Amino acid sequence: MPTATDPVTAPVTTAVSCRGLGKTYPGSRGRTVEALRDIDLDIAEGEFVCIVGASGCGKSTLLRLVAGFEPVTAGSLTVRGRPVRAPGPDRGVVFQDYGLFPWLTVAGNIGYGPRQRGVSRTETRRVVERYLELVQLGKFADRFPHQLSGGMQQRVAIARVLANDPAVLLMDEPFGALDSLTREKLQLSLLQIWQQVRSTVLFITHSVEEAVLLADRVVVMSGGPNHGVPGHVAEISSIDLPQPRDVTSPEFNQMKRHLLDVVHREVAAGAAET
Amino acid sequence: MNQLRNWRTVALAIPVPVLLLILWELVVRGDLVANLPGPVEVFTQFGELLGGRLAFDAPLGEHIWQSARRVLTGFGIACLIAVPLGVLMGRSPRLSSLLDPTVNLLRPIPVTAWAPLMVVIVGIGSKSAIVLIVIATFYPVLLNTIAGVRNVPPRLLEAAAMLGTARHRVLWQVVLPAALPSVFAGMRIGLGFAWVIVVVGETVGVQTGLGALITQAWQVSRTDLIITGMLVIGLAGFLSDKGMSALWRLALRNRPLGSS
Repeated sequence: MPTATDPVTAPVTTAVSCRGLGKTYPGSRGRTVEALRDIDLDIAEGEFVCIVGASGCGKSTLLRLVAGFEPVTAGSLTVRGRPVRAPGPDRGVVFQDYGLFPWLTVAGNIGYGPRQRGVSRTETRRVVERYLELVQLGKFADRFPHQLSGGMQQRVAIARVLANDPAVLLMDEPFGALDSLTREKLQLSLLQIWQQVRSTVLFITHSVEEAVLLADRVVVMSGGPNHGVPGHVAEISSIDLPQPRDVTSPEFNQMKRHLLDVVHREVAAGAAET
Repeated sequence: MNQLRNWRTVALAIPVPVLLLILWELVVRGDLVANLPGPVEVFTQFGELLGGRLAFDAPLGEHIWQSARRVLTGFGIACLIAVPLGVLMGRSPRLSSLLDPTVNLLRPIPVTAWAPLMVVIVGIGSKSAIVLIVIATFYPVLLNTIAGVRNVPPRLLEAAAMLGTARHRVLWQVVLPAALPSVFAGMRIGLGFAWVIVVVGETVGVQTGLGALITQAWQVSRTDLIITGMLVIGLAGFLSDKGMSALWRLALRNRPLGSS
């Protein structure tokens, strides 16, 4: 993964590119709600980017636009050069509430994407086994989601998406529904998985600490319809700390402090606007 | 541990029925209700019927079989209509708008109110009983199927799209599996109604059947046979419910069914 100090040996391609991206919804009584305005963001291949911000700032909206669940109303949005028009396996989404199919086993869920693409049963089984191993759920292939804990279900969700070899892995506050112990374990698991697979990741979170722990770059967003200003990018910071990161180290906490300050400053500015 | 829990459940199920039986016997002994036979008399009758004694020219088995046949036929026909219709109505707001008002208008009419009309149209006999069962079973299956199809969690539809499901495959791959527990719930309720209505359907123009048994017993004041008939219907309904649950479980190979 190229860092600021490596000589550039290979061209870094852009996985996700937003230019002047905006999203407007029709509101009540003929008014429109501008959820996002003028988002300029490039995510490089293999980069792990976190978006943080207060509730309502539009971070989930941005993710849903990249996922293709909502149409873009302004600006451009491309993934590996192609404009986003609809949801698809090249933009895999891991939801906060897992979204697993309850009538399928773990293996059935993970193999769902490949089967949709017409991959043979034998090949699908190999793919499923590979990703089961990756998320360390090898023994649970034949269980149903309701038989698993939240953390395990989320790991199935991650495997299910990775099985399609996506251009970008979109994660919408994926650990928000889990207790802090499980969340820590999954953060570690995710980093291990990511270091093996090196997908491009766009990860939404409330938690500045989580963002500093996981990301190569952190995007701070602010605004939102409740704050009188459309959601926009306030700041983008690089996290130049080597992995594994130590949450107790001074460097870590310096970064965290800086980002928290940005977030709070933005919230205060928003409150002043309304 | 599960074994222990099962025995406990069985053990706890016993006291109330036993208490009711004792109460029943006491009411009869104390002459508190006219013409009511006691449990001893009823069970003796039951025993004789099981032993092969005829009730109104047919063995008990024949009565049970005729009723079961009508229930299953009516239930089957109702499901064959209600499930596909329910899926279509659940998926298509336009079709739903077209049919909803009519469906909701006819629904409050009790099945028993349809009975005389059915006898006039279809004629006395087995067929009108089956038609009544179709009407009774139709509504719970239809309404539950519609609900199941409409209430597929939107998240699952998003996940399906995200995983590359072609639009024409969403119904079969996601909507139907998600709706299945509701369909099953509707079918359970429908089967229960079917057993209730078969008695009504068999009151007129039918010689054999549990409903016919009860009706004929009533006409000759054989209260013991009435009660026996009731008990057998209750048992038949209970066993058919268990049977259907077992069939569903087999068909779905242990996938979660919701509550059961």
